[in-house]
Amino acid sequence: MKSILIPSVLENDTLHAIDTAIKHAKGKSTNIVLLTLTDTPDACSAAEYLRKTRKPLTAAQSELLDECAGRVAASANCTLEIRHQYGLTSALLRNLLEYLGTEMVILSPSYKAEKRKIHTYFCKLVAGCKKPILHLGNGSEQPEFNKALYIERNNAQIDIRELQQLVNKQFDLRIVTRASVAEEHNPGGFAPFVNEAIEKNGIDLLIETRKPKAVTRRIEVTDTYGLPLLSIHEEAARV
Amino acid sequence: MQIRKKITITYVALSVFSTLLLCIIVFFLFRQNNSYYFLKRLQDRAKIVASIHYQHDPVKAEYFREFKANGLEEMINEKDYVLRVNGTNSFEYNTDLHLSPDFYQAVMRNGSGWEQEGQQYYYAQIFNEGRNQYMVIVTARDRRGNTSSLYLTRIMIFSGLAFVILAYFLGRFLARRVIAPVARITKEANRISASNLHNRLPLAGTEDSDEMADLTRTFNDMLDRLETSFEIQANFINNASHELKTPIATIMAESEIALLKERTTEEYSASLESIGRQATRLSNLTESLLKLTQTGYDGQKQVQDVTRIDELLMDVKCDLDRLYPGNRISIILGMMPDDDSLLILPCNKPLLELAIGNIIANGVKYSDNNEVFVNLIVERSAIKIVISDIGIGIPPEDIPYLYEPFFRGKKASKYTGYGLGLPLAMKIIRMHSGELQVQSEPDKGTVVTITFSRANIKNANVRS
Repeated sequence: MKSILIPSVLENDTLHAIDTAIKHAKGKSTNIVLLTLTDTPDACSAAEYLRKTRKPLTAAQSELLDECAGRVAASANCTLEIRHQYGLTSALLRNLLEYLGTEMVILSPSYKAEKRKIHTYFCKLVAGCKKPILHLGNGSEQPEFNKALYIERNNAQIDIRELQQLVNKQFDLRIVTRASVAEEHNPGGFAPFVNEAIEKNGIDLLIETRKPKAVTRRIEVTDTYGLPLLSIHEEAARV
Repeated sequence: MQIRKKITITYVALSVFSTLLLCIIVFFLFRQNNSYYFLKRLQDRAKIVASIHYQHDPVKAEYFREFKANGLEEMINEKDYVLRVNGTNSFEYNTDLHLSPDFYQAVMRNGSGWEQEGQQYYYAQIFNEGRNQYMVIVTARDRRGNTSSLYLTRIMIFSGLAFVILAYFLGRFLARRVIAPVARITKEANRISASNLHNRLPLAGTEDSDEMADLTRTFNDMLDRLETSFEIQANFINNASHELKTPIATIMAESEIALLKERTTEEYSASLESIGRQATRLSNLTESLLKLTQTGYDGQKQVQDVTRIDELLMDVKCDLDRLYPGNRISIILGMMPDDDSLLILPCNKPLLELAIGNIIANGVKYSDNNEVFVNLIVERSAIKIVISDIGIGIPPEDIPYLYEPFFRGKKASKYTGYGLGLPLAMKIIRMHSGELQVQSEPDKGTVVTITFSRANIKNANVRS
């Protein structure tokens, strides 16, 4: 069974993430894990700890969760699991991903925009793991994930052939365009070329690779082109 | 300052420094050597003085005196003293001697010792005679040692000056030798201009792997890129006219045929679709050729199509089927690899289709529509496309001019063409870091091999 992890702050774009996960499942049996993260509260006693951690959901959040459950239930092959995580460490996340058998992580724009430390820490940790990360775009349309454009940095250590093989393990898409950009140049400098390629080739997904010490600065690429971005860890090709 | 002057000055400075250091070391060692041998002489005299003092036989004592006076080389200001040692730290004192207490202590401790005051040396040694101990002190002036030192210093100064002048000329020679390859490259490079960009800097030897050879190779590679850009820009209009006329001809033919008589809606639709496809192709080609002219190959901002080479060849075949109906082009996909990803080639698809299409079309044209085989060979290290025809072939004398724009061989001039297809194809393939090789025999046929090596495909941002 496949497993897709969606960290969420229970904003509306969580639905988009759920829909994307269902679409990615493509009829195969998939477990969608919706993960909420909260800081471990300071407490003098176990009772106080339990009181602080049991925060009730707002009406909007409950409605959202119901909607998510409904959409997952409507698909015949997917199941929804809701997990609440209190506190986070790198070892914990690593073990959690292993336990859940996570194949992909979907990050929605609202989650990446979160300023709270636990969420930024999660983004940082997940960037270091070897799982593919799908950064959703700002659009609400469901992308088909047929044709991809690969944004290649000049320090990328993986070639197009390896990347296509890696992507084909989980996705049914084809890399039809490659845009090579020198690291020292502003990626936005060649935006017109990329936009033209996106329009000409009907690109619906961007792909880029990340290194072991990846940072989250790649977010602006998605904001520029409005497309989802699939981030592949370079070392995953060598696993 | 010029590098040549810097090399000369640096060489002279280093030479002077090392020579100065050597001179200082030699000088000190020489003086040390002098002192050593002078003290040896004093030591011998001390032994004789002791012998004289111990000698009870007056004849023998006189003999030793005679020997000391006449047998040994004279020493200037020579004096000797015999001091009786009374105890561990006491001895007779001679008021003529003005030596430091430390000296006496060292002698009492070690059994011998020496001291120097200017050029006057004092050597002392303890001798035992039965139960008595005596300290024999011999002193003399070393004038010859000092003279020798001065003489050596004078030699070193004059030699040093001569050496500095020699070092200057040697430095200039060295600088000239070192800079000569650079000067040669500069001279050759000055000869290269926009009108003769095909010239290249000569490499000294194929096995040369020094820095100058690297510089020469890098310069030549840069000239390759410049030449490509210049020629593409210069030939843009030619290339555009040559390549655009084909889809325009197709559009015209399609519309003429459609207008010949009344046709069904489906037939008109099919014609319009065909015209639409050719118009799209026209647009893509114009755009690609324009980009080629504007940017050349800018490895830093390059958006390439990622295509499968087998699909590309099939697309080329479809285009050629429209242009040359009834053609006998065969695409042979021999041993296809199990790994599909080996077929992937990042490229500018319209341009590469154009290049391969031109080469295959040449095969069709110059073989009078005989069979043309297009073999695709995919290996782990490279992708090869071998286009072979059984046509008129290319005479050996025409081979060096194949890539010259507008060149047409004598045999080829009987066929329509402008001599632009192959030069453009070569530039496009070179732009993709590929290699183009042509082998031909007159009246037997031609084999064109296009090779894209894997290393060049991988390094997308490396030079074109």
